[in-house]
Amino acid sequence: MGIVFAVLFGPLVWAVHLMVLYGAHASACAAAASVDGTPRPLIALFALATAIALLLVSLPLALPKRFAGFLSRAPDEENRFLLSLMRWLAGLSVVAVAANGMALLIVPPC
Amino acid sequence: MSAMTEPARPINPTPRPPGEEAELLRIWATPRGWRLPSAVNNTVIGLIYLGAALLFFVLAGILALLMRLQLAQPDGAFIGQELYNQMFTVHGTTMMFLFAVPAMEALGVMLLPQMLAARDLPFPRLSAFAIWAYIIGGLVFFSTIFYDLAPAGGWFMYPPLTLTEYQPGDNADFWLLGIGFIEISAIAGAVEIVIGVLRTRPPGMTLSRMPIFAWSMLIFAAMIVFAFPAVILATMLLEIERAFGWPFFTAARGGDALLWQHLFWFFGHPEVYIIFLPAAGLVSMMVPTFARTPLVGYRLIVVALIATGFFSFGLWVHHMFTTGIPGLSLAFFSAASMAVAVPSGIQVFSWIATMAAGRARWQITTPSLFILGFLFIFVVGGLTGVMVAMVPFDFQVHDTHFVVAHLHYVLVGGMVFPLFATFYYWAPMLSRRPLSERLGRWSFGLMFTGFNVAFFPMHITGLAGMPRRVWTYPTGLGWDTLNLVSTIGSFVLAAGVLVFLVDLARNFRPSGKPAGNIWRAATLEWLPSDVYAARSIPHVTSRDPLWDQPSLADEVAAGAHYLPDAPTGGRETLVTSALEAKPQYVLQMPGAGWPQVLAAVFTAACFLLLTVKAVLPAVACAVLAIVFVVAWLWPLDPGPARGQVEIGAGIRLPTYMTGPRSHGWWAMIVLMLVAASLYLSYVFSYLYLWTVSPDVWPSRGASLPGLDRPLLSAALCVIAVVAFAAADRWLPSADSRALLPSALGVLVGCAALAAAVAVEILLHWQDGLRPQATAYGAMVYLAGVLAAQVVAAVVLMGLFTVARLVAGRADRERRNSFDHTALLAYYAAAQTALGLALVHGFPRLIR
Ligand code: HEM
Ligand SMILES: [Cu+2]
Repeated sequence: MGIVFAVLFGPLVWAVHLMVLYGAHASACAAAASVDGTPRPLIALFALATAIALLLVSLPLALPKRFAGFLSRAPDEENRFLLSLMRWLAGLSVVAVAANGMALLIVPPC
Repeated sequence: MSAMTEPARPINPTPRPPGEEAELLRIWATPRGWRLPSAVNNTVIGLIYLGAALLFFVLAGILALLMRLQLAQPDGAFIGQELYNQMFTVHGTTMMFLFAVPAMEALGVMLLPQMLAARDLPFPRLSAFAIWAYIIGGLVFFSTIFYDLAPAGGWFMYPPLTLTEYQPGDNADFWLLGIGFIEISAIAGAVEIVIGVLRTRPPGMTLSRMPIFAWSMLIFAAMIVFAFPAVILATMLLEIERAFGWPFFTAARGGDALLWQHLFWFFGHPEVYIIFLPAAGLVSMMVPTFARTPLVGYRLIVVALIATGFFSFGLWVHHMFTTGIPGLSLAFFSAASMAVAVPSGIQVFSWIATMAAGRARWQITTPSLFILGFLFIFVVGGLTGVMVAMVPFDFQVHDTHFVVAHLHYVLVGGMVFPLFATFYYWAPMLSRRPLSERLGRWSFGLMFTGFNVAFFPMHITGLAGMPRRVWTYPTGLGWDTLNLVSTIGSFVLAAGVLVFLVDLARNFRPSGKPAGNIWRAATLEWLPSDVYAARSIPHVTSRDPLWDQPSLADEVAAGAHYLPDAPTGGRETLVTSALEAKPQYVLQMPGAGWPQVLAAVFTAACFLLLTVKAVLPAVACAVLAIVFVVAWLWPLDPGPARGQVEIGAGIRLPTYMTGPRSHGWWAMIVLMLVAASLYLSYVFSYLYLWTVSPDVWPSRGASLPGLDRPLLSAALCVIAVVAFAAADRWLPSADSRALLPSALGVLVGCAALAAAVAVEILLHWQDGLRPQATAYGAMVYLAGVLAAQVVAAVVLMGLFTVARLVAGRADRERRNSFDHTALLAYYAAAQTALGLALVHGFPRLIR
């Protein structure tokens, strides 16, 4: 399980980030059916969530060995393979998280 | 020494004892004649499965041709409006649900065990059940078009159009119950595939040596596990609203038609990739063979598959750009939709690189032509995909023939062409003769030309404003010639398919002695094989075993590798660890039989009778279905009686396994993930309807019942957990007959769960809440319905377990049936408790 979690860590962070952002903005818009411009707390939430998510997804990129410490049970070749899957997926997730975050920061919400 | 270079070596002494192979042949023999439906061998039922999918492709294709005839000229009078509506609905639904997904699952059933050199999938009867359920359900669904009973709401069946007010009659119910049912069968297949890929690989085939098709099927199955429950919930909601008037989608009582769209597309967008990923996996298997070069960028392709699998779940709203959702959602999902093109691009570049690396040796054959055709068509479809991902452009072309062109470029390009490549490429694995190169090239030429002639003009008619789903159009709008060209193209395409069918009829002869590895490919499905699959299970040391170990095929055929015999005297295969593929135990499997077929027949009958509201006969069929499921499961879980056996190289393995290492445990976990995603879809729906109609929710908890009875329900859940845990401790040992404590524990646990749900439902009823009144009431009762559903499953399994205890077929060692029941019971308790928290807690939090 730990291995699966480490390899999929980037996409998992992406998923949580998407859920938080989309959920927050959709319900905020539903609650205040017509808000002019972007409410400040919402923008702050988006920015904060995106910053945290980016920080998290870069962990497997910055400290792959330490981050995936629990992979060591696998033989060498497997280890390298899984580590590189993990890093690539984290890398793609950085792009995806950044794209989603940017969209929310630029466009007025409702 | 790294594992990669470890020498390939024969494991067992040869020649093998005489009679060993005859014994294997006897054990794995396929029933013939009228007994064929009782077969479970993966190649046999896989072929039946694939044949059925192909039949649905042809049937839905004929509908398409009829539609194109109608559209050939303006003011056509060949097909009327109502029939046209039914036709595009049945065409789209059949293609998506009865052809595309099943065809891919069929290839999984047929090819995966061969590629993994396993003797069969881990749950042979489960696949057989799923296949027969699908065939019966699918045929009945399709035949509704002949009786004017077919649904007419389009393949995505949007309410309010599909509510009883606008579509009275049973037509829409055939879609809801029929397709809901077939999705359940698809999920059964997905469970099988996940466990098959993770646990039945040959020793030495670590994750990084797995054929790409196995990777793609693993991700395909995982996506089904998370995507299909959303649409199953959606069909449940709509069917409940149609049958009982619970207003999930009726705005006047707090429902919202857009809820359907969210649920449907949360399934529907991943669905597109569910169809495409296995096709991409097949292409990744064929390209290296024709380039005679190992796949370039294996690792990147795996990354791309996983990334596509994930990211495709974050795009569903792009199907709803024109529904008036907030501007921010538009930007958000538009950006995401363009980003998901990146992983697909990675794969395309890997294939091109592999072709380039082997360009001097690249062989032009029928499969390789289909692959080139796929690349061209799919890339065009991807480009128009990025175009419609741009919101202003989508506003322009939404619901026009541009979208019809786009979706066919993606689906036919991304799935049908790879599938035809697959037919030509893998036919010699099963058939005495390969398919004909000459006919194959004709087929490809006609299909490729026909497809482009048929569908390219639709981009233009779409841009010129021709809506989709219109049965006719007036002349003088500039659409006439283009439509005629389209129709001609579609008949050329059909001619290509016909040539293929002729080829199939003339040359395809399934046989125990197939033509074999005519392409000189590298992977294990090309090992010499017979009904028992490979003669022995190879030790794998690289990604391209047949290229890297030239003597492997001969060694395997001589029985020099693992499990050359049948040490338990029945069907068996090796179970290995998920990551490193270390041998763990020998899995004993059931052979041919009727119970799973009859269970499928009666399950299908039950759903169909429900559709026409024949409730009593439906209940009778449900009971019969349960009887046959019991008959099917009763002989399983053999227990440790056979001890350990030798599989070769002096390795001795147990023939029985329980607990978290057993394949059954893994399957239960996957099933619980399915149940959990269904429940998450419910939680989403609850919260979503609240954001839409907070006015029908009780504010600040006013008018909510007190907390005493929900707490009682919660306590009952805890009691259930304790009871099952106690039953676990008290399981009798094999020689003792002290079964009363554990049997009582199971029964008490089941009763407590049932009581917890009953208390909750009764509470709301006595409180005066009615599900028909508002969306809030409907959602509250739905939590009860979902809980009751899982608890009913626990009760049935609990009774089964108790029966086994009494019959002396379950004890402390032989405990899989108990373990599975207990796992589901813990899950049911957790889900029920979560439901209580949502239903009683959430309204107290809101203003
Ligand atoms: C064999 C060649 C095919 C032809 C000639 C064809 C033709 C058509 C036509 C004429 C329509 C109706 C357009 C309209 O009036 O809106 C349609 C719709 C559709 N087709 Fe096909 N099709 C073919 C293959 C496929 C395949 C292979 C798939 C999927 C795997 C597919 C999926 C769909 C879907 C999802 C729709 C939309 C149905 C709806 O609007 O609800 N088609 N096709
Ligand atoms: Cu989509």
